Amino acid sequence: MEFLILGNTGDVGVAIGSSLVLLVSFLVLLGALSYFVWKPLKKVMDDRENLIHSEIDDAENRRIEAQRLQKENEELVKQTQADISSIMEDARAQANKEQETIIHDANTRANQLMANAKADVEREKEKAIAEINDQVAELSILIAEKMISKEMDHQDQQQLVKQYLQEAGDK
Amino acid sequence: MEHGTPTFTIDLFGLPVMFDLSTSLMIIITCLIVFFVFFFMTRKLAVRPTGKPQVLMETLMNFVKGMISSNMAWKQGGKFHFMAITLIAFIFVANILGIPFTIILPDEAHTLWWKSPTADPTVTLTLAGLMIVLTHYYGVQMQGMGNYVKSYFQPMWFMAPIKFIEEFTYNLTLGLRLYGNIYAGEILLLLLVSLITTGGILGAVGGFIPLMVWQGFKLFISAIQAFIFVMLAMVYLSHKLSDDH
Repeated sequence: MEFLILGNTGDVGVAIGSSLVLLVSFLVLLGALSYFVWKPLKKVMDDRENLIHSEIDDAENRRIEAQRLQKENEELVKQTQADISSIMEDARAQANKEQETIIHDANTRANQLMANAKADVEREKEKAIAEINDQVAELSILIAEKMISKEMDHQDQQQLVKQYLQEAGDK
Repeated sequence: MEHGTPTFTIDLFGLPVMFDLSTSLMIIITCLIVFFVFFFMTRKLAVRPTGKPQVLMETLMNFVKGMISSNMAWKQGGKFHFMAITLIAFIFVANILGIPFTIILPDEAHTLWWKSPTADPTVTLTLAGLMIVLTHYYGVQMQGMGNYVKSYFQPMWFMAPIKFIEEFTYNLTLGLRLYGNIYAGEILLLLLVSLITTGGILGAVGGFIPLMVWQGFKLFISAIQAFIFVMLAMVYLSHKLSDDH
């Protein structure tokens, strides 16, 4: 085989064998490096890339979740505060109403008691006046009797007593 | 500066298959170095990196990923990631193997055993050919046979021969650029070394600083050429993959 080859010194032909050696050894090198070096290395790099991606995604999700929770909590707090104030308002109104009712009741009862007491007093007063009047009448009668008895004799007196007893017995 | 090459030829069904032993050896050494360096750098992998090796490896991975993404959509280019990163590592290590020293046997032919495997055009052209074959394979796979053939006649029908030849020039430029840079670098290194060893006091003093400078520069060239090779391979791939070009 005759080829024009640069760097060759004349009578030697083409070193086809060198080409074969190169091809075989290069392909073997490629295979060995791919298997022992590039694949593990690439796997590690890809793993790292995936890890970073997933971490970023995770962080993003967490951020969104945190924001959502914060909003939720704020709303909850706002609502709770509104609830509390309305409950307080209700309670205050209720208390006011009860207070008024109680005061009103007490006033009514007090007024009633006062009225009763006044009526009682009035009645007692009238009773006492009537009693006094009676007693005054009796006393007057007694006094009148005393004054009359001096002029009445014993017989008349006895007759009068009998008459009274009879009247009392009739009653 | 003539150096002998150790060769070994076997007959395979009547065809003489010649092995350049030093190149083959250096290819295997390169592969072993690349594999074990990366293998031991990635033994303690963690989602939270614990050491510098992992960070370094991830930086390399992301760097190559950036190279691919600058040419095509990652959805399409993702499957070339491992290949591109292996390729750039292989070429870089192959390029720098010739920097610290070379081994030339003191026999009659001055047999050169230790060198950069990429200082051999067979190696670079094979790598380039592999890439070009790959572009055609994925071109057919992604666009379909019809669109792939149609793409040769795309802007104007009469440009088809030019586009056809272009495919071979891609191969040549891709391979020979790498070969030329590394081979020229090694030649200059050998010249500087021979200046130091045979030039007497003056040569030793005058050659030492340029040798160091050139070694540093060659390190830079090695990195740049590895980058360019992979970058261009990706560019060619992207040309074949996307139908809008």
